[in-house]
Amino acid sequence: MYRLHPVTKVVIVIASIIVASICPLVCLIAFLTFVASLSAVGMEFAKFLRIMRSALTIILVLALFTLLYGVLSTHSPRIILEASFTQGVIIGSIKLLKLMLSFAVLFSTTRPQSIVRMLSKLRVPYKYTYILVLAIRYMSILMSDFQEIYDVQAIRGLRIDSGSTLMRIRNTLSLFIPLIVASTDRLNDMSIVLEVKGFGLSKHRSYAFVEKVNLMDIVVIALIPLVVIGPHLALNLVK
Amino acid sequence: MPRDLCRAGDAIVFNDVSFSYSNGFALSDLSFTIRSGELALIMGPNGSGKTTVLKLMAGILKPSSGDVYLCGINTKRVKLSEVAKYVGYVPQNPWMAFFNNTVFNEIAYVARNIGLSKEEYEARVLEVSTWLNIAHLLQRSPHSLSEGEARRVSIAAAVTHDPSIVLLDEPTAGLDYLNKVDYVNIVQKAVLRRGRTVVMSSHDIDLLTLFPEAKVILLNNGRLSFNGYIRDLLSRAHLLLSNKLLPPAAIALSTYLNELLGIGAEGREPSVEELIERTVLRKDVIGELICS
Ligand SMILES: Nc1ncnc2c1ncn2[C@@H]1O[C@H](COP(=O)(O)OP(=O)(O)OP(=O)(O)O)[C@@H](O)[C@H]1O
Ligand SMILES: [Mg+2]
Repeated sequence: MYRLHPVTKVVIVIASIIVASICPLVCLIAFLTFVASLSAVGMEFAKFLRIMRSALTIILVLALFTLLYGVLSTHSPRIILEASFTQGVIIGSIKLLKLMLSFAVLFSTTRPQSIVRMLSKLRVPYKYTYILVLAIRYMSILMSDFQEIYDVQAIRGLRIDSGSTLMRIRNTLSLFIPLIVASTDRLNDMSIVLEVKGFGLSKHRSYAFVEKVNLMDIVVIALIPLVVIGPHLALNLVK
Repeated sequence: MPRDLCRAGDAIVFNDVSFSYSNGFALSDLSFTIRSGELALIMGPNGSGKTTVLKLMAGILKPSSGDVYLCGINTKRVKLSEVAKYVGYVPQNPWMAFFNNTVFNEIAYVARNIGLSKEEYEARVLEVSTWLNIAHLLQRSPHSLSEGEARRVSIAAAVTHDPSIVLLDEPTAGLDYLNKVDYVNIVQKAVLRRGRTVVMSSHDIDLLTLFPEAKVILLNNGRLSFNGYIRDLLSRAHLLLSNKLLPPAAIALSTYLNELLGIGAEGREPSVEELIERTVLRKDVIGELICS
């Protein structure tokens, strides 16, 4: 895991966001298994357990609260027995687990400097600790921008909430174009603001070593679509 | 679903609608109706929930309790890509909507998605872009536009397919007064059509004087604090102030002058002679006011 190129891990994170937003239960579970086994193999087992434990705790608490809230707001415990509600909670938990796991993989196995270096390739001014904080915050901005773009394009008739799974995947992928444009604009603004505030006055930094993309990265990236689409196809064939 | 749906009756109905975000902000028990063909302004200070209300109207957000009916259909039961056929949505940030390589494609996008023929949408794009003064931009990339241009393009993109409901989020943000007046002309030409329902959100109180016929829904901190017509609102300037909105300058001045001259204090209109007498009496104050 540590040897994987940061870009590969970013790809995993992006893939899991896509999978979480559009895929049916089978792919969800398949992808979850994939990420989980990757990280179980690639990290110290204790660390993996720790991540899993904290993720599971948060999710369990969330699920319990959702159930409790459902009961309290309807004043009838029978709602738990209603299949659709409980099923929603379970699917939601699986999605969350997957997202948390892939983010955890990115942030816990990549040295902050690697992430900083990636950002500086995108011409983000350095002052890394600061940038790193910004970058992590940036993730949540990206997520909400993505939601906003998704909603606006759906209401403009882009078929991302209906139609076949394949079409949905394709259309959802196309949303990354405006997301990237919007975020580059935002990064631009941010860097101008930082510059005005006096960041980046020190001279450009060079790095001691740079990660290379190797065979393992390619294998992992190639596996992603297989894992996502494979079980779906298999299931359709069985039917 | 036929596109002429919703050209009569109630276009948008909020029925005891509540909604809350995870961070604690909540809309509570909103009930109001916007009839088809009406122009409605959703007014309120920053963070009062205007965008949230528009998203609930469009079906982007679903209420946590209560129901929203769009053209008589409960938004809980519609897919967003279906809503596209009869709703045009202009987001607060126009850049969020841009998706295509040229302005032309951007404006034609919804019409294409819902299956209008090539002749039909090409004619519509030309018509709409002439109304909005953006015909010279059609071959540009939407990401190279200035903010004002981008705003007009995103309005054009929302009306090309001739939807029966148009929702605009903060359309006058960042415009100065003259541009606002200009904007009003544009809206009158391109957006307000017979039978079409238009909802605009804004914290810009000048819109009240620019669209004097509109229905007003005043929000404060997620609650409905006024629901009615402008003529009933302007006579109650205190309602605006208590909702952290300043009354339009013209109204404020006339209220001030009325008080200064004691008009309305006796419960009747003063005669012309009385007015002249009082004006002369207070001419020092009025002179100062005009000079400043
Ligand atoms: N996606 C979101 N998640 C959590 N909270 C949100 C979200 N969107 C808005 N809010 C919160 O809800 C409240 C109302 O927001 P909303 O955007 O509806 O206000 P507004 O009246 O449109 O404000 P403005 O005039 O600034 O556009 C704000 O406190 C905001 O922080
Ligand atoms: Mg808003």
